Amino acid sequence: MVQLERWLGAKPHCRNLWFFAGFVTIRRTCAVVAVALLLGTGGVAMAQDTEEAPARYGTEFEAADLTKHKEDLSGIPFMVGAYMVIWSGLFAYLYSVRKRNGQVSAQLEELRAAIRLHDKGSDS
Amino acid sequence: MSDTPTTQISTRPFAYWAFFAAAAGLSLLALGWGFFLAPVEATMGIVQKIFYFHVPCAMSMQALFVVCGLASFGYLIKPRAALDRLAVATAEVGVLMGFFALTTGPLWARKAWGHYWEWEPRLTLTLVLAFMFVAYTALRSFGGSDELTKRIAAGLAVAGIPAIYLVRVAVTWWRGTHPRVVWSGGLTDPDMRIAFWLGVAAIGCLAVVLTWERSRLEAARAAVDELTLDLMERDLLEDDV
Repeated sequence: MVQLERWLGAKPHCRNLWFFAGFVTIRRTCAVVAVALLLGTGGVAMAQDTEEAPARYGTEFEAADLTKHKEDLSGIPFMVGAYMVIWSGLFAYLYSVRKRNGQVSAQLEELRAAIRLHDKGSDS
Repeated sequence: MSDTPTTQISTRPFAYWAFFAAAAGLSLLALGWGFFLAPVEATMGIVQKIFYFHVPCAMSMQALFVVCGLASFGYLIKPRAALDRLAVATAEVGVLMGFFALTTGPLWARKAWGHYWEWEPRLTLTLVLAFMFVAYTALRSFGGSDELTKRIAAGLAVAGIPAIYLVRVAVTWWRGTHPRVVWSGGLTDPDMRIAFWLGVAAIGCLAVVLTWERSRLEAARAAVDELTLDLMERDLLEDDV
């Protein structure tokens, strides 16, 4: 984190006021502009990526009548992609938070042990 | 003598495990119902099944941002660590849910509309709303843990509440093309309705579990900060640690 802050140009002496004084740096400005351009151009490219659009689906989802129509399964890759994004994202986030929790708890125990050790030393 | 800080990180209570079990069970049930029992939609085909988790994610995002805004408002009135922790946790989990909604929606749209994205009111406002809370989490992650940063972030979260309302009413006010199915009784098949509400319950329980876990992390970090300060006062740590 400290390295990232250093790379981004945060000044250690104004860490608490970084959003006033240290935040606007050339690197950060360039980074923000680059991300904005990336998102902007990506969004425009996606919006232009059109094929013959079917009718709008406004207010009703209706079950397919299989006696008249064949099931349309052509959207399977999109559906699988969407489900993968959600479930892999949820598990990854839960794993990451629990891992961070474990690390911070271990750090907490170390600090408590140090204090106990110090208290014991000063008592004796 | 012992003036050791007494901050304790609570163990996970029964309610946490109850939500955890409910989230796991409901998720499996919702997946099963959505895949095997809910029928394929007449015009969109199988891609409509994205809806059973896309909408619950968007609903969770809005609920979490509302809680974040209210907790932040409470914090501005009466600064309490628990409110701040709740705000941080709900904002981060809300951003995650927003990410899911904003990635799964375009996957549905590619098949249903013919393109991934449209700058229509609800989509655009949801994107803006998500960016607001991304800014909140960035501020809380990189801005340090001083009171001023917390209050500025709280103000940002409170400012997000009207945007949440606008997202809800955008389709009616500005006649967007985003579907309006849930509250207009547009889910005609009972199995579609069950799959959808199971998805809402599953994602809701998961959001509670994730928020709880994230809040514990924030409490643990606060305890580490407190003990580090205590050790510094006793000259057991260097100032720049």
